[in-house]
Amino acid sequence: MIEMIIVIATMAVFGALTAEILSNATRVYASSLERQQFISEARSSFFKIARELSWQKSFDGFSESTNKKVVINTEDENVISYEMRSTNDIINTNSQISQINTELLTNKINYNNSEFSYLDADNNPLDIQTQSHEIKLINLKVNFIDGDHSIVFNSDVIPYGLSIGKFMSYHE
Amino acid sequence: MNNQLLELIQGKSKRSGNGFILLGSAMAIFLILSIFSIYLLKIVVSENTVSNYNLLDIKTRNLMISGIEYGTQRFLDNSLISEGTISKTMDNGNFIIEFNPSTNQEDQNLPYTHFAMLNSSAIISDVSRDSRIFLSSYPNIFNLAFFGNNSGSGSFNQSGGNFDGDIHFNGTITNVNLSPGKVAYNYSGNGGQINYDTNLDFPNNPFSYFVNLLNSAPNTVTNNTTSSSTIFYDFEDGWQGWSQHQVQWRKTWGRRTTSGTNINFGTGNALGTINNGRTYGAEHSYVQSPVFNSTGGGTITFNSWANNEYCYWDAEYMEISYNGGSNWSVLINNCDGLWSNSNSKKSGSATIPASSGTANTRIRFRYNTRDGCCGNSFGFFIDNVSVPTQQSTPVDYGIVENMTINLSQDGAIISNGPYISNQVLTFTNKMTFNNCTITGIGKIINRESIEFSNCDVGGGIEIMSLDEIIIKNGSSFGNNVESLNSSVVSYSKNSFEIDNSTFYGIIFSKGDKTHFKNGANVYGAIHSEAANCIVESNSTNIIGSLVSKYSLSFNSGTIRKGDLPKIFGNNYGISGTIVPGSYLEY
Repeated sequence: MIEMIIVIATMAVFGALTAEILSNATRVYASSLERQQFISEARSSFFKIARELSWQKSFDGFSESTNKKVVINTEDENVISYEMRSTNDIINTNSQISQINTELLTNKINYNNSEFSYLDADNNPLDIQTQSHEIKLINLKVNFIDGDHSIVFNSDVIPYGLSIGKFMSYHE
Repeated sequence: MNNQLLELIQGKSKRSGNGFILLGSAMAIFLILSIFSIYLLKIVVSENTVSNYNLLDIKTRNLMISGIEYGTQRFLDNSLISEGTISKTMDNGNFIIEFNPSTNQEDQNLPYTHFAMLNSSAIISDVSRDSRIFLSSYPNIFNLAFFGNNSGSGSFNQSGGNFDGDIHFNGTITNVNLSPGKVAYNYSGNGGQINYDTNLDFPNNPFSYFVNLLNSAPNTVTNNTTSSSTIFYDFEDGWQGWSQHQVQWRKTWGRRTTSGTNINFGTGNALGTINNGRTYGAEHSYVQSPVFNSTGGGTITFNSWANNEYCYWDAEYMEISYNGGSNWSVLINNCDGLWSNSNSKKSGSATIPASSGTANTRIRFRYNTRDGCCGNSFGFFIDNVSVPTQQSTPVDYGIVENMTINLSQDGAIISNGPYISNQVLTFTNKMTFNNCTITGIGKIINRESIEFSNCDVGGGIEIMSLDEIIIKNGSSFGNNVESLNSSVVSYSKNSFEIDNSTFYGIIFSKGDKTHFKNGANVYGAIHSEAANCIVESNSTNIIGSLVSKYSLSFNSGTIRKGDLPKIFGNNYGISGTIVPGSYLEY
C-alpha cells in the first residue's frame, strides 16, 4: 500500500512537471512562431523592396512611380513594381516571370501609414512625375500590422546605379 | 498459519514489482516528452536563425558594394587592370573583385570593345551576393556619336549628313539630322533635348606623351642646292626695283629712249639723267640696284652712254656694296676710259671676286657734274644691266616610294632620307610616303609634316607630327579597333586630313583643321582640338565617336556611334569612366 502511494505520488509529481514543461514549451513556441512569422514577413517584405529599389538603372525609371507605387527598371531590362493598395497589402510585379508575374507580397500593412518618398540631394521631397532627374534618395516607410502586432520599418535607400552617374540614352 | 504467511509474502512481492514497472514507464514518458520539448525550442531557435538571414543579406550586399567601390577607386587610380582578381576579408566575410576586359557576367561580349567589366562577389556565412558595373577606357563624352564643346560659342547648324547616334552640343542646335530614335542633347533645351548628365567635360589634355616624344625628334634641316644665274635689267617695264638717290644738289634720273640731245639709244628704254650744264645747276646722284646674291662671284655687264667733260668735271662711277648699301667701293672709276666723251653705246663689265661676293650685294651708277658747267646736254644713261646671282632650291630627301618598311629594322630607308632607330621612323624634314607598306610595332615621329599616299600602315603604330598629317589616295591604316596592336594612333599639332582612305584607331588633332573627306572611313575615337572640324562628301563615314573642342562642319556622310580601341592604362592621358546605368546585381 505504501509502495502504491509512493508510485502514484511520484507519477503525479513527474506528470505535473512534464505537463508544465510541455505547456510552457508549446506556449513559447506558439507565441514565438506567431510573432516571428509576422516579423519575418514584415522584414523580408521590407528588405526585398529596399534591395530591389537599389537596382534602379536610371532616374527616369521612376517616372511612373507615386507615393504608393514604385517602378524599378533594372540594367537587365527587367521591370519590377511594388504597389501599396488600399486593401492594406502590397503587390509585386516582375516582368521577368513570364507566367504569373504578379504576386501578393504581404497583406499585413497599414495603407494609410505607409508610403514611398522621393528626395533630392538636400533631402527635399520631389514631385516624381516632373523632377525625377533630381532624385538622390528614396525614403521607404511601411507600417506592418497583424492583430496585436504592429511594427514600422523606415529606411532611406540610395539606388547604387544612380550614384555612379546619370544614365542617358547614349550610355546604352 | 505458516501457509497464510507465505502467501502474504508472495503477494507483496508481486505488487512491489508492478509498482516499479509503473514508475519506470512514467519516467520514460517524462524523458520522451522532455526531449520533444527540447526539439520544439530548437525549432524556435531555427526560426530566429532564418530571420537573421535578412540581416546577413544586408551585410553581404554592403560588402559587395564595398568591393565595387574599392575596385572603382583602383580603376580610377589606373591600378586595377594590372592586378586581375583581388580578394579582401572584412566583417566576417570576404569580397572578391575582378577586372574582366572581355566578357560580362554571362561570358558574353561586352557592349563595346572599349568597355571592361568590374564584378564584385561577397560571401558572409551562407549568404553570397554578386554585382557588376561596366568601365569605359574613355571619358564620358566618348559615349556619344558626337560631342561638341563649342569653345567658340556658336550654334550648331548641320548642313548635310546624318548622325546615327546620340549627340550633345554645348549651345543652341539650329539644325540637326538624326536617325530615328536618336537624340540631340544640350543643356539649354534650345533646339535639343535637355541633358541632365552634367559629367560631360572636354578633357584638358596636355598630351605630354606625344610632346615629349616629338621634342626628342631630330631638329629640322633644310637641304638646298644652289645654281649660278643672272638677273637682267632692261628697264622696259619700269625701274625693276632700281631707285635713285641724291648725294648733292639734285637727282633727275628717269627712263628715256633718247638722250638729252635726242639721239635714240636703239635699245628701248635706258635709265639715266640729262646733264643740262648751267641751265639747271649741278647734279650729284645715283641709281642703285636691288639686292642680289653674288655668292661665289661673277661678272656684271651693262651698256652705257655718256657725253661730258670727261674724267673730272663730269664724273661717272660704277660702285658695289657687299652689305646691302652701307658701304661702297668703286668698280669702274670716272677716269678709267669707259666714259670718255662719246654719243655712242659702250659696253662695260666688272668682275665680282669669288672671295668678295655676298648674298647682300648691290651695285650703283653714280653721276657727279660737279660745277654744272659746260657739259654736253647728252647726259649719262645705262641699260641692259646683268648681274650674277645664286639660286637656292630646297631638296626634298623625305620622299619614299614603293617600299615595304618594317619598323623593327634599324637603318636608313633611303639614302639621305628617313631612317629607323629603335623602332622609330623619323627624319629631319617633311616625310612623304607613296605606295608604301609600313608594319609595326613602332612609331613614326617627325617635327615636320607626314604625308601618306596609297599606303598600307599596320596596327600597333603611333604616328605623330608637330605639323600636319595627311592620309590620302586609298591608304589603309590599322585593321580593327579591338586593341591598340591592331589599330593606329595619330597625333598632329597643326592639322589632320584624311582623304579617300580608311583608318582604324585613335586620332588626336590640334591646330587649324581636322578634315575628313572624299570617302574617308574612320573607325574609332577622334579627339579634335582643331579650330575647324570638317566632315564632308557622301561616302565619308565615321564609326566610333567624334569629340570636338569647338564645333563641327558636317556637310555630308555619316557619323555613327561604335566601337573604340580598348586603351585601359594608356599613355595618352586619356582617363576612363564608369558607365552610368551599368550596375547590376545578379
